[in-house]
Amino acid sequence: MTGRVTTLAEPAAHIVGVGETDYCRGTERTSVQLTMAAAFDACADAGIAPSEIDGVVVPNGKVDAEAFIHALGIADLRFHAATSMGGAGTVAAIGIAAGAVRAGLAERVLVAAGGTQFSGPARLGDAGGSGMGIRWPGQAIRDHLERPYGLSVPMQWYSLHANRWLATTGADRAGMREVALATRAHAQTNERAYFRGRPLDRAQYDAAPMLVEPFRLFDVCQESDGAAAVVVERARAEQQGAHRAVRVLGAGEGRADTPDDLVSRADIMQMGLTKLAPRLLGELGLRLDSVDALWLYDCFTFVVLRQLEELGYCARGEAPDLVKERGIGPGGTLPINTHGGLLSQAHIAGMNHVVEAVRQLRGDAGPGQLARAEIGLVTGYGDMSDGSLLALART
Amino acid sequence: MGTEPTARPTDQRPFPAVVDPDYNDHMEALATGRVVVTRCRGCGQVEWPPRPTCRGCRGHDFAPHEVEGVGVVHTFSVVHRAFHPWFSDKTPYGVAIVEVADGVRLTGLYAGSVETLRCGLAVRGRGEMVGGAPALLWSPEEHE
Repeated sequence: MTGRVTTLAEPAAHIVGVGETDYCRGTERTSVQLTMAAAFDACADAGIAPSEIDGVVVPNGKVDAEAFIHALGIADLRFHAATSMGGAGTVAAIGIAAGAVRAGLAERVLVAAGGTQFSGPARLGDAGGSGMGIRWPGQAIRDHLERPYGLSVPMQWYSLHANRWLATTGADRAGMREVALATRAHAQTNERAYFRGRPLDRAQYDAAPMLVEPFRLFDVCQESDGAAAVVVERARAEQQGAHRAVRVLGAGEGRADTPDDLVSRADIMQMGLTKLAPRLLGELGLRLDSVDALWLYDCFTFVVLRQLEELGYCARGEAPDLVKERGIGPGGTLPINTHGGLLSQAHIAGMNHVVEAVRQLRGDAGPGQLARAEIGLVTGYGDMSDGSLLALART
Repeated sequence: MGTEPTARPTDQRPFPAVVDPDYNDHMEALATGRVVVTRCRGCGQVEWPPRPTCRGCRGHDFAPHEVEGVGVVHTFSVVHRAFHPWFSDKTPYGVAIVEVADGVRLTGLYAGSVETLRCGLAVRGRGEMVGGAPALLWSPEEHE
């Protein structure tokens, strides 16, 4: 089945284990405790002792290397790295981990993300408009030219992109509702999804309050507590854990022009993925028609649509028609975010997308298992449209 | 974790407690009704927002450059859910990103009715004190 992939690099990296905590809104546990719980779970899934980890990559540096050394009992940590790409950082971190094991910098690299985004101190709604207490790229631009005008959180910044897209391409805004309803429908078969048991229909979506045009409540993802982790290794001679490994075909990151500023970007619809997708897919020789399913970073419904366009599935403005024609929910021919995504499973910085992609490609995704899942793409999106992309294949 | 060194009271319009030197001329001009950006003294390249290094000639020396506050709305936002208390009783409020001469884009509050805010709208801008701090305000051109 990988015959269509022409330029696989050897030695290849594999994801050999995945782990997750429960996903909730309200916890007594700390970010470090949640992260380590996911790490232990991933090591058990990989069939290794936690102390066998000798490298860690931490998206956005949320947990220190020292904390992993302590909790996992790592005797000699050989490799550590952190990303700085907001929501694009998780998938980018997988790319760093894959590169590290391929280069021999480490044998088994753990990548872990998540925390107490809901219960912790940096919640969006309590931020007083200071951007969730997070330091953003181009902070001086944020402080001087945006926050004084009432633009202080991602939904407001990204609305500038969305409104330009709607106005200049004639995109059908009903496509955003299509994404919201599809992810919620997927979540109904996932026992790990926060919104399982709470389906969403068209009338509920339409009746929800407008937060910032064009985003209604269900166009915006939730804030969650929880963590997820994966273990990345070079090719193994034999299977150690309960599951077969999933091969990392390739991974990469990309940034738009003026990556710290949407407003002055000549083409405000340009994203990191605009540069990254043709570059990485070209290097891999991977054609989109070989891809069975996608796990697209879905902080906002419109970001899913825009990523489909920048990935090359259709022209700008056409993604709403594409998702309607193909179907991205259960039973659709273009399955997207089969776990429910950030929108309907949990906001674990997209590591839950990676975990679900691995489960689908291993064939142990539970009731939501796709009939065909051999090659999948996972994206990350963050900050001012930074992008990351991961191509995975069944082994 | 906050982004301001000394927080202004949250019932005031959000504004940096200490203005970054790169933005001083811009803010002082807005307070007197004018719109000023930065331009490289070496090659004349307009850099906005301000940058430490000129993309045209790699120079580091910038001078204030006054622009005429007329342009076209490139994109916009209409906010219904405020995240800063000062904006809470002002929803829905509009924010316009306006392209003026030299391709410079300037963010400001939209002074017209939010229903009229759209891409391509011709607008005129002015600097003004709003909520105790300098602001750029965009209004629809009269002939629209």
